[in-house]
Amino acid sequence: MTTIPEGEHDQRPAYFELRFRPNVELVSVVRRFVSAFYERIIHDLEVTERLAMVTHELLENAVKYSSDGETLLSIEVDQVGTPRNVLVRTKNRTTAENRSIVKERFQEANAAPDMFAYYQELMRRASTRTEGSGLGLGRIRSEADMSVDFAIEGEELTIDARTTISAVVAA
Amino acid sequence: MTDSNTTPLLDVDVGTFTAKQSHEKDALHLLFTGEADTAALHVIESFLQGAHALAESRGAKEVVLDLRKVNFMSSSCFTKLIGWVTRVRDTPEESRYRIRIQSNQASLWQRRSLHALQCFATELITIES
Repeated sequence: MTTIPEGEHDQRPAYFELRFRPNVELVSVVRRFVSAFYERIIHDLEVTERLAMVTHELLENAVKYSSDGETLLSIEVDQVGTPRNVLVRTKNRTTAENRSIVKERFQEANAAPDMFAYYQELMRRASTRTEGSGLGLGRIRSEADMSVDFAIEGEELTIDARTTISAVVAA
Repeated sequence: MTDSNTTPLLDVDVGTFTAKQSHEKDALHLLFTGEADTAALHVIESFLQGAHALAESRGAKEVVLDLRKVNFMSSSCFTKLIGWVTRVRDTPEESRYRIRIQSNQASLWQRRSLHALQCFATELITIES
């Protein structure tokens, strides 16, 4: 255990991990909880709103596509340095079919020369289907201005959303 | 209040989200409040379907959607808005109506998502702040 000298702020990233079986109601409960977490360490309502939206979208995806229902959510926010890094990560097991869809969506998004035009295309797609349009991931990139990446290890899918923010005020 | 020849459009309240409607001259007013997330998903879909049927049957020229008090909308719920806009766009011109969205520009999701929605159907949608 590291002891922080009196009068000094802990300079390690603010961090938490939550392993749970999200359902539709719990996604909203966790979004409200992480909003409070973000608000406490980032005194910026707009950044808080962005990060809460991203967390919600990633968890909704996990609810839809996790093969055993379990998801690990981890959030890390730097408290020192400029700019400060923020990472929102979900990790869950998913089927081969879903892993392949995710790969396809990422390849498509990464190849898109214009993210807003691609987002408009996802909106067109979402108007004709109820599932799997990729709108949630598109929204993270286009509306929350976060980069999104994925990794697959066996059956496990990890999705990382990252951004940098200009100011974090430690509580 | 609804016409006798249309399906009644009922106000809904799921605790964290409400949808209400009122009618004035040639316009139908829809008021959403709260958090539009998974709990509100099916409510939004059926409410917008009902509103579309009502607007068509009444020959409404405009539907005003007040989102100023919606502090969050998930992409699943946003998809229902996109579906509604697409349905209006696919309606024959003579019974098509315009959509005026009242928004809170201080809210990030409203600025970003509603701008994207307007670009999706510029001929139909006006955003007011």
